[in-house]
Amino acid sequence: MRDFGEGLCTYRPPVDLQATHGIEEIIKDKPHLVLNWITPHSKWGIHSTYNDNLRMLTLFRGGPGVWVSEKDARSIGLEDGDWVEALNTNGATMARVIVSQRIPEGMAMMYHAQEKHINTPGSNSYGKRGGILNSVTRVTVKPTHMIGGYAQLSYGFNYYGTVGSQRDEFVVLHKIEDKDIDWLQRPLTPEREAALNPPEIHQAPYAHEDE
Amino acid sequence: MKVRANFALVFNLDKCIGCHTCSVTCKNVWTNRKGVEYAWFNNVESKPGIGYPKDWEDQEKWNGGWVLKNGELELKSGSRMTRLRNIFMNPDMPVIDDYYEPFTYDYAHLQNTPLLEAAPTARPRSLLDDSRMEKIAWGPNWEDGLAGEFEKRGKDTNFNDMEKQVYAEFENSFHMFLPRMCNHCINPSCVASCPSGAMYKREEDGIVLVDQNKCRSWRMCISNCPYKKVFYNWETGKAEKCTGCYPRVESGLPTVCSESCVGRIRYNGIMLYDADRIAELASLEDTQDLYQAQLDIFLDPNDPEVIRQAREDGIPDSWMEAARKSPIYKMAVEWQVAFPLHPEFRTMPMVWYVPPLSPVQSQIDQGNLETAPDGVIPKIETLRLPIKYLANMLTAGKEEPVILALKRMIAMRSYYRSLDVEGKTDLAVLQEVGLDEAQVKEMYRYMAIANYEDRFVIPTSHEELRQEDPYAFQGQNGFSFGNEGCSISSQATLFPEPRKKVEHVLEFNAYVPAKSSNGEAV
Repeated sequence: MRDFGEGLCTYRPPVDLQATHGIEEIIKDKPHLVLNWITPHSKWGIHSTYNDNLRMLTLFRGGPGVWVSEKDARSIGLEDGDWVEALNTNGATMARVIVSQRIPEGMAMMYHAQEKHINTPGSNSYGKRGGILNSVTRVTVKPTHMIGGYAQLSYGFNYYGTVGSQRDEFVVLHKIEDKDIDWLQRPLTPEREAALNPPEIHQAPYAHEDE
Repeated sequence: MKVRANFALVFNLDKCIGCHTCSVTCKNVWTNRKGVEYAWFNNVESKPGIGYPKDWEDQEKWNGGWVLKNGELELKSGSRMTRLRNIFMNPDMPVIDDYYEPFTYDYAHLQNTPLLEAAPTARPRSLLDDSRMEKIAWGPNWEDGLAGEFEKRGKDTNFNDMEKQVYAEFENSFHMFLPRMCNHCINPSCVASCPSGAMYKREEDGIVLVDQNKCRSWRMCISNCPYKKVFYNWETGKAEKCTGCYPRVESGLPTVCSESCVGRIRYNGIMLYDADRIAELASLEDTQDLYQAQLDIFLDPNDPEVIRQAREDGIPDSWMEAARKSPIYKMAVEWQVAFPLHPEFRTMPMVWYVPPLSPVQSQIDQGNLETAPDGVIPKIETLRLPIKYLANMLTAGKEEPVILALKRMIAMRSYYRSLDVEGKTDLAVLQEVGLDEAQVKEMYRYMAIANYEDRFVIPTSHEELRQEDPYAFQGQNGFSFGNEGCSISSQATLFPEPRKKVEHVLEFNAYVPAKSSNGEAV
């Protein structure tokens, strides 16, 4: 770890994972925000403690929510309670925006334990059910976490390992009008399945070269 | 002097973490029923915010509580004639959207739906008419953690007479929780407004209740309660409200919300007051005198004259003992760290609040804030919560009592810091706020340690003094949900009523000992 200069806690500037590159092209004509994505423990539980039952959902906003600062929201005409899509190259998540003065500019926050089986419409960009907080994050290998062999710092799958860079994630956030909300309730027909999964994405890259 | 006892509570906001355990346990026990899905007898609000129901504190909008008219108390909704004129169209009645439309989700859809193009999701559905809800628009805790634009939350009337725009900035934002329930007021405007005489304040402990048999659903109580803590059950067509968990309190147990509070912020106890002085003290001209007026109406349970009169007025000795040990009396009267919620409504509420401290530890560490000489405890002027805001909430805007209370709480910390860290006690900080060492030690025991026995001092009820005919309730449950478990209660009422007066059957068909001519048994 000393080789990486991490013998003690140290500041590392954010890593640009380029997760928002390319996405902006799709929605660049619309007002949008590029925000740092923060996913803290939820207020009434830690990790995935079930706080998504009817009682607790009633005690806040009854579905997934993304917190955004007042200034950012104003800049693209977002009002508290609007539907938004947060997306990057990793994926997308659909939620209602919670505009709050307690969020600093440049940041979007979504608590743990969001439940996409409750009140979550489809993502307009991906055509799938709009996911959860981790739909837009990805695990990135950090070498010091792979060292292992010392006390608790031992690599184990799903136990201790390649974490550490989710907080460097950025998302593109844009408003979805109520009329454009798609709940993806259509039955899955062979035609629909074909449209959702075009054959070319299953083919090897050289298939394109033939065309 | 007429001595009465009132069940009272204190909430120590300094320790409230906004977990809503009180709301959830109360909901599960009392309003987990059809007709009152939207009703939360106990709720926790995020302040600054407009609350539940919307803008409840704004009496210019709702006309709840009392006002002075020609020096006399009158309900703010107008004279008796005004209310009678409006009885079929009450202009101050909140509607369901002022609370929120209660909802559930299509949970069954997750299991029953045929194969869809994407994983299914359970969409919200109204609990009122089963209709699809496209978008949930409001809830009982919509503003949690400063959620929503400041412009909307800033309508909070506690900002009155303040330059509030500065608090809209991220750097100046402040936040506190306000748990609320029925205040079981000494001068309840809900009771005064009821045209059917269905609402009453219990003589023995002051708990305010609705007689489910007498309620004729005029709903005057709902608009006239300034705290909006009476609710309309649309299934039974009756008003319902917080019962002070009287079946528990009568047995000496704390209310459900108090028992379950994980922060141990809730205190239950008995307060004595002089019922002869209600009209006089509730009708003082200046609203800022009303906090002191309520202190003045409380009676000292150690005063021999009060003890003598209490016995005359039928207050049992066990209740006097509880009044002497009452944590409410200590916090409200002895240390004066607790305050009534909006005394300017003139209802004399009996749920009192300890205002929260709000130090900014990171700022203190960086030396940006002025502190006491110990360099650790912040000065009151540097607290994040504006004093004026707290005063508007708790003392009709009078700042001095709130400042003294906060200084006393700071002094308690300073004293214990000097004791535990420096090893020598700093009595100067106590003298400055008018406390002695014994008092601050007791404050620490009640407010910091907050043992169960200290928080809850509840005398059991004396049914034998109250019931004319206890046998009339024999064989009944104290409370039911209108089920068959209770022989008398029906769908219309949750509470038992006396059976028809039972004639003494001994007179016929029973063995009667023969008597001699002088009346003695032979």
